[in-house]
Amino acid sequence: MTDQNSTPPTTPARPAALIQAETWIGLFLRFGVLFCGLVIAGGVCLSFFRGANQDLSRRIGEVLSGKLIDDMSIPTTPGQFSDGLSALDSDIVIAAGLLCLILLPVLRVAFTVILFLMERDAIYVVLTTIVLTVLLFGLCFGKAL
Amino acid sequence: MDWHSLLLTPGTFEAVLLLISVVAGILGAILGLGGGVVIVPALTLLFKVNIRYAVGASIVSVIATSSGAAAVYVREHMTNIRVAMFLEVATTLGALGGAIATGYLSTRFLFLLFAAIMFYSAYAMTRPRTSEGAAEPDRWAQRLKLDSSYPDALLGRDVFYHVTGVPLAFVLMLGAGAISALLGVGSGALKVPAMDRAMKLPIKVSSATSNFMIGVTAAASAGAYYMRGEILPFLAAPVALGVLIGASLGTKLMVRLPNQKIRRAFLVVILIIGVEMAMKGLGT
Repeated sequence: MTDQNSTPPTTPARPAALIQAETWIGLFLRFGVLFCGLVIAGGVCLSFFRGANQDLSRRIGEVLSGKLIDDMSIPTTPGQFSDGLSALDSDIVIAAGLLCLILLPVLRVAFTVILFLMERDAIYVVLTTIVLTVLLFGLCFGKAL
Repeated sequence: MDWHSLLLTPGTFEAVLLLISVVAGILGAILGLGGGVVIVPALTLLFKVNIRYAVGASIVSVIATSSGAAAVYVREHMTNIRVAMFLEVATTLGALGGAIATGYLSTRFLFLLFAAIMFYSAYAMTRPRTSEGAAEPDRWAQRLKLDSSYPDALLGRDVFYHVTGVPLAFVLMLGAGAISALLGVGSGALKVPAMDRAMKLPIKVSSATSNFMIGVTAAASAGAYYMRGEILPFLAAPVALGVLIGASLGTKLMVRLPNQKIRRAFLVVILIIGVEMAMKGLGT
């Protein structure tokens, strides 16, 4: 607990704009998680309706023996996603849901950059942009790392 | 083993994994440590999954649970967004460093590091979580406008607080980010003490802000892991869904449980997992 006798900060610590923004961020995260969860669950359901189980059994066997799988193709390009999604390929639907989940915090940071831009808070525009750059760097160059 | 071959049926595999992840999510939420601390040992020790895939599956579930929890705290205005954004510079850089380093580290080392974190978490759980509050902000906190307030339901008014120890917290967060990436955990057990002890934030603000940061930290390494093909859809999907369901059940359960007793019981579980992970690392 903070010391009650200390002088409170002179500037109002919690401007109305920030409170408004917090409400929006909260809503965005909540519905984002729900959406991604539904997409992933949908993909899992699809995998049971559509065959390809032979292949999946083999891969499960490999994973359960502690091996690393070399021939697993994970979609990374927009083209792979649009082809897979329109064909309702279960692996790609799940991958899309997982990738959306990973992008959720990235979007949240992008949202904060805009927020601080609107508040004309130069230090925090720089800080949030650094965070966003690091996140995008991991996504774009992750393969090469 | 027989149950092992039974698991090869995709339906059974996904169902068992979902169930275990629900349990991991419940335990994680009650312990306040997150599901990763339970799911990585479960996948590696019980299912013999390679630790890289276990970490990949776990890191996604970390994003899911922390985003869910962060949504609640942000809405209640407990989170210090400035502190979070500033420290996220450190955690994401640390996480990216960890994601790069993991390619050069042996799985043996990862197991031993995991064991060490389990022992530290157990130790941290036994310590009382209180912060006396800072008398005045340090130079950095003033420059970065980190002082803030939060609505205290008990007092029925806003409580102002100062922030201090900014450089130390920043350095600690670099480490927390790296650990999170290497082990697929949220590393809230490392973030909260850094804010609590170094920055002297009120404990409720520390927890809320830590939760807010965990998702971004995890996303930094998850992006790299995804691109490298270490996040297997058929493994990560039931884990993410299970932990998400478990975590929301866990938070509801937690309110009704006798806190102290439960924590002590789980302390034992954590220590056992730590020993198991250490033995796996030592190759015995």
